[in-house]
Amino acid sequence: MNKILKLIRINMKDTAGRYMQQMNARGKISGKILALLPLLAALPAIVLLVIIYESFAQINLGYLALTYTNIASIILMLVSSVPLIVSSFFYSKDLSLLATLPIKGRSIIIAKLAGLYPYLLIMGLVLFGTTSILYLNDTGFQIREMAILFLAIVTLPIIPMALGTLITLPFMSLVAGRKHRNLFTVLGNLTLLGIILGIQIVMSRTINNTEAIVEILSQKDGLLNLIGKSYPPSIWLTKGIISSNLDFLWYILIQISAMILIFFLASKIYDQALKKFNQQENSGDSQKISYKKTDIKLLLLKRNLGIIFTNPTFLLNTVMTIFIPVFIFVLYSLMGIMNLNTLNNPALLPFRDFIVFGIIISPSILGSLSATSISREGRFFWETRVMPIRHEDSLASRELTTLLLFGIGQTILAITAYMILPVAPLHMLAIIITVIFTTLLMSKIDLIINIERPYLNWTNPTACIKNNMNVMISLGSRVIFGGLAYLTYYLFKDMGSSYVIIFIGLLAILLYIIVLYIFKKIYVNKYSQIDAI
Amino acid sequence: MLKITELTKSYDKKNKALDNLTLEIKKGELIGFIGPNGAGKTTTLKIITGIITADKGIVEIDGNNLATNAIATKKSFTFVPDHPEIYESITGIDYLNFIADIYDVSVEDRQERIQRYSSQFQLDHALGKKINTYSHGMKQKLLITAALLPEAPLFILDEPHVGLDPHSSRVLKNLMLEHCRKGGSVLFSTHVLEVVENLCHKIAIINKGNLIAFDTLDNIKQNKDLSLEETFLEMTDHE
Ligand SMILES: Nc1ncnc2c1ncn2[C@@H]1O[C@H](COP(=O)(O)OP(=O)(O)OP(=O)(O)O)[C@@H](O)[C@H]1O
Ligand SMILES: [Mg+2]
Repeated sequence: MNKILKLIRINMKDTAGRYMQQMNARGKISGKILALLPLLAALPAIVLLVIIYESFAQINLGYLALTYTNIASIILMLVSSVPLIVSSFFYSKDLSLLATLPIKGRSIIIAKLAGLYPYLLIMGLVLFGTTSILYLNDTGFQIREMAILFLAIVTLPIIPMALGTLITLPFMSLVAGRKHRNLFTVLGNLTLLGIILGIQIVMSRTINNTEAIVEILSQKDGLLNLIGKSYPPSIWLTKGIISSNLDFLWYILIQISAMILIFFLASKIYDQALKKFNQQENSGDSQKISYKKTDIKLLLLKRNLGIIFTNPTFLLNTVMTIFIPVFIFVLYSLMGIMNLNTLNNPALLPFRDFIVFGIIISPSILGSLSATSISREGRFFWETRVMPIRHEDSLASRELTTLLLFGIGQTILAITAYMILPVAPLHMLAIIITVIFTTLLMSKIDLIINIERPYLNWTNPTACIKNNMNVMISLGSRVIFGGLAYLTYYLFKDMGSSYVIIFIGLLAILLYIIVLYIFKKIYVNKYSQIDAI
Repeated sequence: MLKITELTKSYDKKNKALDNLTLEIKKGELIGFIGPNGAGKTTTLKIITGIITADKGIVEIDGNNLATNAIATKKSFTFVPDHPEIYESITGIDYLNFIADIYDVSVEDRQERIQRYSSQFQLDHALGKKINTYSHGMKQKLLITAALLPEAPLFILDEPHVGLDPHSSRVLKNLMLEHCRKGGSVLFSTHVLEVVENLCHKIAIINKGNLIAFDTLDNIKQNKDLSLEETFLEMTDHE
């Protein structure tokens, strides 16, 4: 037990140290402001939660918002825990050090899980915590309810962590030692996500006719049971909060059993999966030797793509980024917020151009591949420094990598969107041109962000992407552009949607020229001064 | 102290990185482990220290079997790897305290030892700094200090002299000798034959995964008038 704590402590110190170093590198005040940025990102979520809560509260069923967000937190945590587990269990650098120390495999697993806990807890705090406060505010902050909700929040990550571990590890031990294990890892992760989401879809497909609704409403706890069906502990928790101590006891018992299960499986997990995975490095046949000459730019492009494709975390992140709208759509349709019919609704027809535009542009708005294009290189960055390559080429190849990936994703999205929601060809042309320039603009801005904050010294790939403020700042730039685009809409909306889109495109071109000028003037040089580690 | 029996390891199921390697090291012995690049030195040391597992074979340290009694076995050795991958965003002293905690070194002992070793290695001024600000040699010395800290009976090092300045290299040699004098054992790999010649009680030579010699310097030279370098080249020559 003592050693587990030591292990957790050294890991926390390491993480905190890295975080502080990253912050202090750019002055104290800006560092503090940056630290607050993630809160900004949580704001829209909080607004949405207030709306959800209010709509439940209006029909005097405020507690259902608790059930709802409890399940939502569990799904979110489960979905995020899978890549986190893969990255910190299988691709983290301290594993060979830990293997030589007299520490039980079980302790290593438990310490690693404890390291994931804070991330998941934050998600729980935003989702379930917000709703809890809204609920408590309505019911007058009673001690009993407060105590139960507090317990519920701190135990919230346990089940997703346990489930995440249980599904990830057998799969990873299967993959260990395979030739294309990185590819398998990504495919497996995507399948897992698909399965998790699929189960949700099946579970939530109940209310499709009014009779069913009436029947549900006529039963005692009918709605509660319906909402909580996919995850019964959420029902026990809700009942526990409202009145029943027994139900809360059930809820706590299931958390404890999940903990016990993990505890007993941990040493097996370590031996079977972790150790096995980490020793069969680079197995496979040696490849054919070739002395072919390749153009430098192509070489750099291949190198940048290679960094993404040989690392499961980066690849998964990239794929997810490109298909964000698809994922959001699936998520929304299973939460019952919208489906294909909603999009085809005649009432939305005047906005169709904007919807199509929004779908196609989304990868470059929500994904910030360029913002980590230098960071991703990490310890290999020195190579581009040592080799006789022009900085412009090196930068261009990074941008090209982003554009290539987005291009593929956006083409697929454009074709799909055009088939589902046909718009006039000329309008489509305007949309595409605007998308192209907005994408160029965004990737340039991201590259500048990454040059300002290279962050090369990361220990595991998830840290490179997720703990990286660059992504936040990049999203901030999107918010600003979004504001300007809305202003354009506001000013020109009477001229019709295609004109608005054209004007947004002109705005993007104008901004792109300005950014390009700044980039050439300042940032190519600044890039040349980044210290490799 | 250390007994390895018939270790076999293949990374790709075709070529054997280690082939039936058997070796025994007694208390108080200082063993140099040499061989050409890719001969299997690092692989052997990684198997002994539990970083990777062998396909076949037994590792026993101080009477404990690594496979069946991992924790007890790991308490009786410490390891300095060739490519140190450790926590980097903590200070040197944080790292040393972590190691001391893991090996249950008392506060008095750790203070005395850390002060002694770090001043010998001229590292004392840097202990409060973050590890990612260290030079290669400083990191190496920190790892050696950390490995000395628990005073485990067996001390295993993979190319420890790489990157050390002449002073630190001398300090390390003395520390290794002192460790053996106190009854401990040392196993280290190196490419610096001069160190092996002057320091080691016995020399293990490995080539293509096979142990081709394990004996005292004199026996290996077979009383011929060759230097260790010439003998080594002769024994490992491919043609
Ligand atoms: N992770 C790995 N994956 C595949 N093969 C490996 C791996 N590590 C080592 N090998 C192979 O195992 C053999 C032994 O390598 P090892 O690292 O043990 O050599 P070494 O004696 O330490 O060499 P050096 O003096 O260069 O450090 C080599 O043929 C090498 O190609
Ligand atoms: Mg080696």
